[in-house]
Amino acid sequence: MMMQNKVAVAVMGALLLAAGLMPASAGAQTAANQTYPTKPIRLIVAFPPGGSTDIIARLVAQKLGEKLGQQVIVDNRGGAGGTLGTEIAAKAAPDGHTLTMGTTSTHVIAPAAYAKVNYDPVKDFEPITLVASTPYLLVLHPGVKANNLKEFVALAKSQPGKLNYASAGTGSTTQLAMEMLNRAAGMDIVHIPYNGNGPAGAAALGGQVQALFGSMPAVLPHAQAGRLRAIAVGTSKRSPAMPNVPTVAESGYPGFEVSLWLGFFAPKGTPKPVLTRLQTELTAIANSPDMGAQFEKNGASSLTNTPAQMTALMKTELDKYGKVIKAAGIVLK
Amino acid sequence: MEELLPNLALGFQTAVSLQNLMYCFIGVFVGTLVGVLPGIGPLAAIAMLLPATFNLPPVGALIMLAGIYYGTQYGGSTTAILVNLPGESASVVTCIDGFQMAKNGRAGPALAIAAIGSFFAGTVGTILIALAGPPLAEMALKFGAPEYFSLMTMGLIASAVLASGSMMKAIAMIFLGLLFGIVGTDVNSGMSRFTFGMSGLADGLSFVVVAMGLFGFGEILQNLEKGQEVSSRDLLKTKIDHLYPTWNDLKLSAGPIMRGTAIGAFFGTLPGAGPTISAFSAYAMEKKVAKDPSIFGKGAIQGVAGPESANNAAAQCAFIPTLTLGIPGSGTMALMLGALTIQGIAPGPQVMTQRPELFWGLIASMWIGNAMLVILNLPLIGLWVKLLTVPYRILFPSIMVFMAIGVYSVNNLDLDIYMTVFFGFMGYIFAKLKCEPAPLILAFVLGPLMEENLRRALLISRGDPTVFFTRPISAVFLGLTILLLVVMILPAIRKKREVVYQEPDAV
Amino acid sequence: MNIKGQEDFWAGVMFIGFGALAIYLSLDYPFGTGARMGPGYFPTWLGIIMALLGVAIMISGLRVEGPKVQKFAFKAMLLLGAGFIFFGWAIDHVGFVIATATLVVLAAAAGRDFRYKEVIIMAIVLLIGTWALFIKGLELPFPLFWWR
Repeated sequence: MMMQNKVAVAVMGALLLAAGLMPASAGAQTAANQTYPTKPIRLIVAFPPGGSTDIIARLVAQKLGEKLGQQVIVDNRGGAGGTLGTEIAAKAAPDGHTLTMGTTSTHVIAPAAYAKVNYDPVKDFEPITLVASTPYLLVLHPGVKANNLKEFVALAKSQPGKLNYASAGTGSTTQLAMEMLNRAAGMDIVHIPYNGNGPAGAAALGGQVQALFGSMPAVLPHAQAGRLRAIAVGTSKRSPAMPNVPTVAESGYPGFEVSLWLGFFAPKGTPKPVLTRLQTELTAIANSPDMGAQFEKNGASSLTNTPAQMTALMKTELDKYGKVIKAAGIVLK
Repeated sequence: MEELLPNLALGFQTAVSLQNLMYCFIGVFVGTLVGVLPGIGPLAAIAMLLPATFNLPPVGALIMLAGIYYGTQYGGSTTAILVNLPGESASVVTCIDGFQMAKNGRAGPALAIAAIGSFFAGTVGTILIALAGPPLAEMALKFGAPEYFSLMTMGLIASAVLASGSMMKAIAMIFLGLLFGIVGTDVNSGMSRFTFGMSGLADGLSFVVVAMGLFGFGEILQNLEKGQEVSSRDLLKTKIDHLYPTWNDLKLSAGPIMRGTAIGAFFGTLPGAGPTISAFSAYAMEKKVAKDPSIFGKGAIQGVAGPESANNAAAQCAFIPTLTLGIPGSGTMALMLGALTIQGIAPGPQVMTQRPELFWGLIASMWIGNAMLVILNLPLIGLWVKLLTVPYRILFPSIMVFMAIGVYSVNNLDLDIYMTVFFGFMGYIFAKLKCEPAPLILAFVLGPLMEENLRRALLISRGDPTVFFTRPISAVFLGLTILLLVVMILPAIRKKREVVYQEPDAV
Repeated sequence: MNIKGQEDFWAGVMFIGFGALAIYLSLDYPFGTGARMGPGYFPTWLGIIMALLGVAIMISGLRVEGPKVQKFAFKAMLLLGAGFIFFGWAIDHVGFVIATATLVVLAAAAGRDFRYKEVIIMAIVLLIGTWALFIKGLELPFPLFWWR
């Protein structure tokens, strides 16, 4: 019995101590009406630290913090293909002090491919602006006897079900890009899922698979060194990094476009002035030559737009990828 | 080969300056401090400290990162030895004998030998990268799905050697570890398995959760049960007699350090579970070559020296595929790759020719990082050992707090904390039933890779299982596996009677 | 039935339990074939082998003499478990300070020797230390209190 009393006293003591610390931080509370931002901003990144989304988020977060005069703290909430963190962001207080870095994965592919996702990419968020995009590059192992997309399609058609392609995982953009091409060209290349971009790249380099529609940062160095043969880019325009490589669209499949975009979102209901302020700052940051150079090093390039354009983009892509996902029978549970 | 010396000279010219040595010192120091925090392994530490290096000049930033990398790695081993908390999967093996040494009052020698072994292994690793990086990386590319599967199978069978008690229970624990490893999203089908509908489990159980639970939490429960004498005084069974290894300790460790280094250098070049597989292969090797294998699990210095050297050699050689091919073998390496690109080095086949000063500067800074680690940590040993004399009634609530914050910081997910409690209770129950957790945790790490590669191999071969025998590298590994099984089972059958009599005393 | 080696017997029972659970849960996942394995293939086989190993270990517990299973420290399990679970819930709801302070107190209460002055001092020292280290130093995004 003595014990319990002592515990109770100690709990009380701890609570008192906590109470003692309150006034210092309570001051910040009353300042909520003053100009935004009144306290550090939490930027939710729905992926673990170290990935390309995280690196880009951290680069932008640092600059955004300087511009707003408040620290922007990156809060990694990885898990379940980015849906866990995005859900947390959707449900956060809409006061502009919680933002999230959304991508094609969290705001288009996951909602389309998962059997159940607890947020609506369009209805639960206020889009602010895109900051960057990453292209995809179709590469072949040098041993494959095809020098361009046309020859590759002919080769694949001559031996249906014999060739393999690697992807960064089931339901990843790298799979969807190849599935779209499979369908558009009437090929039957077998999907071999790997656990991430790195292992998928290694599989293509080692000739374990013949093809990979890889994300630019992962495959570009190998393509430049000639260890992988780049035959097409997935974007609508040629990439400045590889100007000699044609787009898929100009190689005979007009309208084909696959890339990964990264942008900022706030929870639905965030005040308009806050959103406008963030859009101005973020657009300026993303378009600065300094940041452009940093993005370039990570295989991405600056890309900004408006909230309305972002919503339109999401709706188009939800429709486009939704069809591929359904046709390929991808369901993530 | 003949260019090695001028190249290394160029590297040291770039790397050695008072300023850079300062960066290195800061990196190692901060890395060690952060590394001893449970749950915050090299991956998390580098991610958190990365932004601090953005504004440094490239070489300074790389040197600091190398310092952080080695510092956190060594910090993980420190907690494994002192309080039975492995910082990452490779230091699980260090827990087995390292923590027993600490309990016997020999934490000092254990920490020192870990530092010395790591330095030796790091030096060899650095030379190896400089000498044979590109051809080694080519070899790693030859590893396809069948090779990985066979390698993992061999590793798992070898891990049964970690147990000092019943072989059958050890094998059952391996299977249990494989099952825990399955929790999460299946790479091949995208289906969630064993998640009980919790989205927090979709990416699987995190290593930190399982290790903190089984080792940290479970150990504290066991100690508290022993009651008054442990709970109010300290962990030590005996007085601390030596702070540094004796001549005899060094003599005993020389062989394990060299063998461990060789094993680590071999496995480290393969992208994947290099450090883990090499650490316990080294342990298994030491237990096999020892004159008296029964000392393992009770505080054998060889059981610390071998795995620690292997672990560090592998960590060093993990840079080979990362630097020369741009293929990161682990999350930590992916992060280092990111850091390199931010500093303007695009790792890949051209890096050596395009930016030789940066490439060789990095190699030199790795070695400087390793050297700095020893210089910094040998004097710190006294301090760490003092930590053990803190009364246990103060030590264990502090460990609980650091563990809770560490586990939570990985994903900021409350479920991780609840799962740690589950594994803490499991660890306690395992201890009661004399089931040793080390084989389980290694199977937990390797299991997902094994299944993934098995299914991938069969997918690529269109269902033909003979690929495992017709591909030469894979066939060699499977042959070795069978050999291992025979070597293990024969004495086990012969010794069966002995084991039964020994069991009441077994720790 | 006479259980000679309790440790082996109960370990066997535990393994059988986990094996059976794995087999049961795997029924929901497509099994596939040896050549084209479904997500259920690998775990089902693991479960079967595990359960068989469990049976063998349990039988050895029935046949071979061994030590008894010692009593569990239920109080320590309860207090440490409660401290952790409260921490997990509290850190995102009422903040870092209360979560940590409560964990220190509950953990300390699990020991035999509870000196409340010492515990309060320890709570304060740990709070300041971890705050400086994790929140200031490593910039972990933990709210200090419920108002963030």
